[in-house]
Amino acid sequence: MSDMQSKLGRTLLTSMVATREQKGELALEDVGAIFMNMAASLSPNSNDVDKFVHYEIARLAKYITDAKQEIFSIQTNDKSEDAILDASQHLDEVIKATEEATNTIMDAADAVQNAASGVGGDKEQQIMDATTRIYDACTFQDITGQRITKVIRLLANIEERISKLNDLFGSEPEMLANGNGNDAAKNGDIILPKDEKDLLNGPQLSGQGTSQADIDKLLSGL
Amino acid sequence: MLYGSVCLVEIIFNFICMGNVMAVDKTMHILVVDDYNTMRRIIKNLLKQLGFDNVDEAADGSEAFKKLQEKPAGLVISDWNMEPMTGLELLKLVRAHEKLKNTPFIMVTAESKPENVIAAKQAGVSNYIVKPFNAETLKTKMMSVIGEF
Repeated sequence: MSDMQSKLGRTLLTSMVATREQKGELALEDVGAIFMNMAASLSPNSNDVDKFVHYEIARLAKYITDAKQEIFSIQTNDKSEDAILDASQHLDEVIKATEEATNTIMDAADAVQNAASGVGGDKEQQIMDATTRIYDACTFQDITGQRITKVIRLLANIEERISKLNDLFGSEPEMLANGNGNDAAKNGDIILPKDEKDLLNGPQLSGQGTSQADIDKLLSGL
Repeated sequence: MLYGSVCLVEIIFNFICMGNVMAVDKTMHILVVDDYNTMRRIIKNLLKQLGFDNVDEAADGSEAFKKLQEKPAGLVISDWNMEPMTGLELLKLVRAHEKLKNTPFIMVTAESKPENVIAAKQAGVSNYIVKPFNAETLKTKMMSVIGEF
């Protein structure tokens, strides 16, 4: 090992220890900053081995910076952890809703079968065949439920990974702020967004939407 | 003569009542707009049960507007969240169109925030139904817009 390499190693170690003592922790971005400083301070008038070390340190520093940027861009664009949790909850609602609907359909099919029994002849058989096809079709709910559960687990996995990366890189509150300040006309306490696309929210989670009765009251008051 | 007048008033009163009940022409043309085929089918089915058979469909706002320009409807029942044209955009176009501006327009949508209701009202919606809904709600809202049937 050359003197330069030994010196670089000692400098790196010293800087990392100093940073940890100062901040109480050593985040990956801190390591990136140390590498950047070292790369900037190295003299280009070195032998080939030292130039190689210099080059590798600069590459490592850039890699850490780029990775940090990518992680933060996920956060600022999607508020990723919230978005993933929201998506999982919506998928849970899908499973519940399809289960309820399937039960309703099967109850109705039961009622039809009961009403049809005693009709006799071809008519009764036709009705029985049709209701049997309804029961068969309702098995979709089981399959879709299983597929959706798989996706929910995958989302939970991704969420855990992003959370770990957040911890690794630390958070930058100023980059996580997500107000668009595009509020336009007010109607009482309700602010209408300027962009109509912000009105496209889709179904609300259970307990969070506005009921038909409340909508009727709101409409009658306008 | 008084008795005759009372009879005449009663006859006219009954005629008016019958007229109100029969005011809605069930052969009227209705346009159902939704990007989900299943939902269009459900609404069409419900309308059929209510006695309305003259029902056309469109899969989004732009298709609906083209159809309305060719054949105005007595009622539009539209979803909101569609592409390339939303139900709100369709509503605004309808209200801005000289021949279509008075078309009764019911929004049937999963968008249930108060901001949505206000925006729709400001755009001129006739009534607003939030999904999921049932046959009774559809009938009630239709009657409030086109009259009793």
